Amino acid sequence: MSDGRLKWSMWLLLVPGAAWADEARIPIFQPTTITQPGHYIVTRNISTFGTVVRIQASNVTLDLNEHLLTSSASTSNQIEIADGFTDVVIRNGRLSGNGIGNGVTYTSTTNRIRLTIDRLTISNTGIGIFIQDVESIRVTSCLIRNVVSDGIRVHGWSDVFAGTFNDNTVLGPGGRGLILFDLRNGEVRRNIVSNPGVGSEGIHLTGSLAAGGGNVVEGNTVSVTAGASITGITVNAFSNHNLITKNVVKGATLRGFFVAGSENRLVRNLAGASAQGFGVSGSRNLIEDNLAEGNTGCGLIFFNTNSHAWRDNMLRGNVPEVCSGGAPNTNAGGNICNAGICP
Amino acid sequence: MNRTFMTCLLLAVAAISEVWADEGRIPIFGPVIITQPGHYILTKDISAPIGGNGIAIQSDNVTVDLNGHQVTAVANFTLSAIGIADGSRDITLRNGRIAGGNAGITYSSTTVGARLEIDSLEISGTDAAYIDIRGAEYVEVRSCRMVADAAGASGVFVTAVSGSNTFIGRFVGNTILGAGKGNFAGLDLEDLRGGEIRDNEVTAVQSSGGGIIACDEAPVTPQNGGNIVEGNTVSGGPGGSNGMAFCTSHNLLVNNVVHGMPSTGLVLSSGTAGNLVADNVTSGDGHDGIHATLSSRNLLERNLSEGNIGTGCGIYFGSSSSNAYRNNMLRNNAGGPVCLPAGNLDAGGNIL
Repeated sequence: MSDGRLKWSMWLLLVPGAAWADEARIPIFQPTTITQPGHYIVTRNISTFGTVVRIQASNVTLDLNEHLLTSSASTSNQIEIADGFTDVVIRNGRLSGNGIGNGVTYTSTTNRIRLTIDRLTISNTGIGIFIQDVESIRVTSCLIRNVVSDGIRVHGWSDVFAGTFNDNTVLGPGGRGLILFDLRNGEVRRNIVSNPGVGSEGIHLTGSLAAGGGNVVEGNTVSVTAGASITGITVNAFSNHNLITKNVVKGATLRGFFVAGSENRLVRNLAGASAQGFGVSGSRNLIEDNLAEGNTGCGLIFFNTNSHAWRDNMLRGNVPEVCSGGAPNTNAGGNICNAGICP
Repeated sequence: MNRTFMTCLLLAVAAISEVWADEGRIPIFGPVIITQPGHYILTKDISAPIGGNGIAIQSDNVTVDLNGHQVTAVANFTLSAIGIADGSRDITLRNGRIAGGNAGITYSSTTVGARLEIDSLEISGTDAAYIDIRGAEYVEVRSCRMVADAAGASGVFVTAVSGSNTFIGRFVGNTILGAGKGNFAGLDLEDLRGGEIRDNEVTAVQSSGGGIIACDEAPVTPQNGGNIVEGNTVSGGPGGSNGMAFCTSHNLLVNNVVHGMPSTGLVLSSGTAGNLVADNVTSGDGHDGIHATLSSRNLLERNLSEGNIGTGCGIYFGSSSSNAYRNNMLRNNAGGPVCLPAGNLDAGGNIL
């Protein structure tokens, strides 16, 4: 056998699995800064003191390939996207931190990112996913647990943003499960939040821009077994015209739902065993076909008389059933109180 | 020389293809005990040895991609095809087939709750449960197809660790055929809190088990419940009891269909309260369509309960009070449209 053939055959046998990737995907097997567009794939678990992967290019797909990226420094993020880069996809793996660094982070005040995050498991970080200055984003099927602060925190910053937040699970965050600033025409569906932090919310739609709102918030659950002053789902004064439907909140220690924006429709939600069921501020909100039961305070409470309407709600088993529901708020009929149809 | 060299090279490549998977995935090509974190992939079908699991997982942070292959265990054997050791967490299993064994996938602990995701598996021919998790913190079972042999199987059983008595979970898009053996349900979820049971199909329920049950293991934990149960279908088979039964409170039960169960379609058990039961169909059951016993302040609306036979009522309130019902379609039930309604509110719009 010639020396050349021997070298070739030895190379074939010894190519390390850690460095191999097929279908033109570019392997990552150590802490890396990505500076070129492309499809990257992690080929081994990576643990380091600082940031594990830093993305300094647009048009990057990063497939974690079910591997675990760990930062041992308390302030390090696991994955950072540098200011000014966009069209990034991150998916399919595990991130673990050691304190206050974030799992995935992007921070800008001028450059709006387009980003997709799918199927990540994130634990022991500061914030699970922190994105500031976004044009559009999808966060789907992520599992976030044991984070010091919020599970998912996204800011439109420069403007309102489009977003999809579906099928995520946030367990025991120190802050909110999801907090979304200036989301417009987005969807927040089928998320599960368990035990958000003291004084926070399971899901919070907020912001500072009047153009926010018009979202669908559907099929989410928030459950609380400990902690004071927790609200299940809050839509505040800068998020209007939302459809909030088929959500379940149980055990919230402040109230199940709180709507401070205007012209929202809350329909077929359930608030149980909380301090209050549904709290309504803002103006002209419609509260219909919901069930509030076993709340130790008001099943439905209006914080003002700005022409809200309520009908067909089941309000038995609360103390009392309705607070401050008088005109010019409209009892449009069909509400059920302990003694029968609510007067 | 050339022929010898090429033969050796081809043999080397063939060996590599069996024992080496690309992109850092670790190949499994025989029964294995996994003791290190990582991404594992089956490269051929494997069979469990007598006295062992096909795959035993004894580490955290493990993903096993069955890669379309099958793990087979001996029928009526005492171990499962895939066994997860007490304390091993953050496990993902997906994309393949499991056949035979006492159970398909098992985990048992009294102290450490499993965090486990099971996705796109086909499980068949198990003697007991398809999936048996006794001690859960978070469990997700998605897009699995589970089929019993003629003897039946006891379905998917998940309960919390005894210290916490509560777990979070998602059970979405599964097909469960021929389960319900031995008083277990097709989907038997004890201690589920704030979870999701959606788009499952439970068909041909066998023996004395039910279709979908979400209850509480003792001691009863009032915080449990608060689940969304939506878009599921349950139908009876040679046996079976109730289609869906709930022992916890504050669940949203919408758009489910139960048909042809030997007993009741949908049960709200004693002590439950504040469930919203809407837009469901229960029909052709051997007893009541919707049955609430010692249950209070539930709202039953826009359901269709029809063609329930025997002494079956469209809605039955057994010693229940303060419930309300409206806009339900309740025709053609052998026991009458509404039974024992005293103390509950007919809020109008019911079609009798």
